[in-house]
Amino acid sequence: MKKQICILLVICMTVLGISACGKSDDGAGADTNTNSTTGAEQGSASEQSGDRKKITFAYLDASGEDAKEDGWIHKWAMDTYDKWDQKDQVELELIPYVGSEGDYFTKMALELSDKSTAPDIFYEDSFQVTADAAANYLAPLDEYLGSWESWSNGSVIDACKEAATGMDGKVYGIPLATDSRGIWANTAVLQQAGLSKDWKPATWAELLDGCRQIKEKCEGVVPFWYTCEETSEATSINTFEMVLYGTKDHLFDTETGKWNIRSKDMLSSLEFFQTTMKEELTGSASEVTNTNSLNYAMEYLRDGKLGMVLTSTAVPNAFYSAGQSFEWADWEKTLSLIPMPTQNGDLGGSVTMSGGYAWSVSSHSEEKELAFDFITAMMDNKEQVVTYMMECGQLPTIDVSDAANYGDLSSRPFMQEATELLQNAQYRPHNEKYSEVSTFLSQMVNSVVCGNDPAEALENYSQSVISIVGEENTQDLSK
Amino acid sequence: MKRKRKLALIVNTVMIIMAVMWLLPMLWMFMASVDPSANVFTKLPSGITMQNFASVLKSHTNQMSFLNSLFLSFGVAILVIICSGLAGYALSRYEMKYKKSFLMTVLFMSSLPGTVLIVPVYRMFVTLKLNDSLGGIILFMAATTLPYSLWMMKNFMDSVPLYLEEAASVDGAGTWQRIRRIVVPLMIPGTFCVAIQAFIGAWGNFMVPFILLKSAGKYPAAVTMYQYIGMWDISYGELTAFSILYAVPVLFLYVLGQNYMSKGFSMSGAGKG
Amino acid sequence: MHKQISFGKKVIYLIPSVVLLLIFFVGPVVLSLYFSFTNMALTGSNASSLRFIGLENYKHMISDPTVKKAIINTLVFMVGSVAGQTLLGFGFAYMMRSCHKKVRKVVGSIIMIGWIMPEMVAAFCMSSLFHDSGTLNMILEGLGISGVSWLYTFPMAAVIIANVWRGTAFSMLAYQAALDDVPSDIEESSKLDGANLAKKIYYIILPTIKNTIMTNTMLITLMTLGSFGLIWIMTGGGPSGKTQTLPILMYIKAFKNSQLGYGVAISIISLVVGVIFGVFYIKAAGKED
Repeated sequence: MKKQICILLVICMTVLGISACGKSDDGAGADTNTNSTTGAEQGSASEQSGDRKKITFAYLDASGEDAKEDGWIHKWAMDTYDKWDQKDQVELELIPYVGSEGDYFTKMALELSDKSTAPDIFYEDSFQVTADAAANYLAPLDEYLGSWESWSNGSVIDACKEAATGMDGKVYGIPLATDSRGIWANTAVLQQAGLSKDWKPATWAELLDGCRQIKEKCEGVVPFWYTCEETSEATSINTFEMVLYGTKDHLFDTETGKWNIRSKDMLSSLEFFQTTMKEELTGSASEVTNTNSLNYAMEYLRDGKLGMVLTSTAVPNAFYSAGQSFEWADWEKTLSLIPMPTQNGDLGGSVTMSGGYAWSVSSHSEEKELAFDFITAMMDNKEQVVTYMMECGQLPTIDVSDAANYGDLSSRPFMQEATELLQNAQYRPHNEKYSEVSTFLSQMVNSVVCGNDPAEALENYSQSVISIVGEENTQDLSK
Repeated sequence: MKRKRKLALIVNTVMIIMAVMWLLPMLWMFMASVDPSANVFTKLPSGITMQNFASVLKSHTNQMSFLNSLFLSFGVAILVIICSGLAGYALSRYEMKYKKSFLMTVLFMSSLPGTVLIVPVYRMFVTLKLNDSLGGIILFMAATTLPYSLWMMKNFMDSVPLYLEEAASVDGAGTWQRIRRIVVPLMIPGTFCVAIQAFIGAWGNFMVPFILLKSAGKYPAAVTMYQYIGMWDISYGELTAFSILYAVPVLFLYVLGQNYMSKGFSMSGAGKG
Repeated sequence: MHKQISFGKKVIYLIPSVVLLLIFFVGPVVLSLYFSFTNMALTGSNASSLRFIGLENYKHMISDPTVKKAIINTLVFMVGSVAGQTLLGFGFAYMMRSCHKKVRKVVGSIIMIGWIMPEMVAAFCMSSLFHDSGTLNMILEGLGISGVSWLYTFPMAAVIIANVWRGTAFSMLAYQAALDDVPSDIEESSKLDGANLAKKIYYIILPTIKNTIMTNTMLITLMTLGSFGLIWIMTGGGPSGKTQTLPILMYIKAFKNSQLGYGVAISIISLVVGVIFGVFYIKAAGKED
């Protein structure tokens, strides 16, 4: 026994010794913006701190790469930095976060609230902008916009600017990417069911009929899929809003400034989902509401066990990128993008929700102008913008037709169709309470998909909205 | 005698079956870690590859994070042993008012889920300039582990007979000498028990380091595990390989201290004040 | 018989622990209590204007059906886990004594793996066990029985089983030590001996190890009360709130719905439940003394 203890102690000492050497600032009192000397993984592009200025840049690294340097945003930022004219006077510290989006939001919210931890630049999901602006986390950028040509000369797509504007009309971020949503279909399945390869249902009824046909004619194939995880923004925007916004009354009435509750259109939307469940036109409730719901859908779609999936147009990137886990060799012949129809075929015919992300500057930042300058440098770095779009599958918010590698992007599968969908794009309510309301929204859909009564679920939702925004800010559409 | 043998056979068989059942949940993890095309479904590997393990081990980020985890966990364990050892001695040996209520309060506090304390701790750390510091995390995790550790240490101390110490003091030994020569050797099982609990607790904690750290090079393994869960793509093969490697050090420690663990769990003296 | 020592000397031993606890534990708990009386939020306009709102959060809790559901779920989860861990822990401990030495060592270690494994890894493993195409269904299908969507149809059972898988080792060790301490003559009279086994255990063994039972049960109750990661990764509190215990609800309210003040108030309820159970155990243990 004694021997083993000695060995253990020796190991401990060695380990502690090594780790102590390998670390620079881990004792109490460490400055939050530590400039680690381990160079590469921190992405710090500095040599000596000296009297150089510094900007910190936080983002969510969703690239799934274990080497930070291969992270999509890391590459984009470093390339921009190398070409930046202020490179010698300013140091850049990159702070990537790995983890789920939800964890990232939580972390950012905590960091943004305090001067000593708030990063200068950070990656912000557009649906958080109104709430974060109301919380005074974001710096308005209007005063700097004048100096950026691309903003006013039409380079930045006008429709996208809205996504990063606060409720007060000020601009709180520079949109970096946007997306659209639709139905991805396996045309082999469609044809097997007797539908045409270019089938485009014009109304919900037609869509459901198509599903019924698939169910009848294709043995063992699930006709339709959507993701319905509880308390997930994806459920709201990819699933429920894609259906609801094909009706007249949406979540929020911009004219009256009130939230809609107990609306008949919401009820019909919920009934749409209930029908898919009842008639078994979609996957089992347990798979559809699972966190991995989308992964299942992609695998089934590729293997011909699923006909259609309602989701973001960015998703299938994994199908046609070699080496990815959902690699689909035949995608060219069998994958098609169908616009999601509106309820009755009117109101523009199709629905697409557009979300997107933005680069924001924290209100506590001491280098707002420099941060803005770097952001605009990144957006003007057209080749990198294109590369990023190719990797994450989203759509650019800025005109990149003059980029050298534009050809890659324009010939990206379904690039044209996805961009076309943007013509009719609708956006989430521009209200700081949206992110809170959205969690109840996803819970409502989830409960209907799990078998609860739509009217009851709608009532619970309405009550929740009242408790969040106050009764005076709601309008009861059942009256 | 025959009956005894028969019963022994039954008991042994039952326990072996239990052990097999206990291993079942880990089946997917082992199979996926050597599977070049692992996914979320439990399936036989399509081939055997060590590539997943290799890529996990080669990654510099992962190496750093393992060292961070070791640093954190050992730090917590050592701090906890020192504090609870001293306090346990006092609580066990000395007559004190409010002793029981102190212990009780301390124990109840530990029923609060750790996630609750995160936000106040975050705010506190920022004010004290302790955020993004591994040392700060050690202090916090040690504090949250102390309640159980104090409780257990006191129990272990209780089982070290007082008369041994008294005999020593009659022989002229001072308090420190008594502690060193008598208490400590007898307390090794108990100490190890508490240390390993503290280590395991710190090793597996995700929330605390995630929220309280910022620099990429400081995250422990619990956090870096999430790098394999990308936006569209979860690399299950690497995730499971990582999980196995991540679980190994604690298992190793347990094996080392196995004998102590069983001796150290005596709670018969717990009811006494 | 304790030596008479000056108060100061006694206190010195306690100082490191007390200081650590006060700053890093009691401090945040008190702050949490304060936050539960405010409208603290992670983001949104409430985040920029922290306001003291008194008992409003608590009043809201009383009328909130999700809170009632969460309390019930928590109790079910607790009772299920504690019962499972205690029964299995005691059962294993008792049986192991009649086991072959090697069997004891190997089996004991295997059961310990559940305890030692980091929580997240355990959660992933358990998720894979109960998955629609996971290990359990694979075995069932091999036996010709069609699989079930465990995490969807029996979510509470699944998470309880997972928690029992994790925690039994702790109870097993405790009971092993306790049984080892049982005087050998009592021991003899209760050896595995067939017909009167149940009676022997109930009337002879159990009373002897009463202290351990009480202490162990209290410890594992409190541990289960705070359990978060396991359930979160396995079911996220779903489906439709069926496995939403107080810690899960607290997390969702505080971090997903951004209502930190409310979330913290909910966790205070958790604390209250813990205190109630603790007091209950102490009274029960104290009765016999």
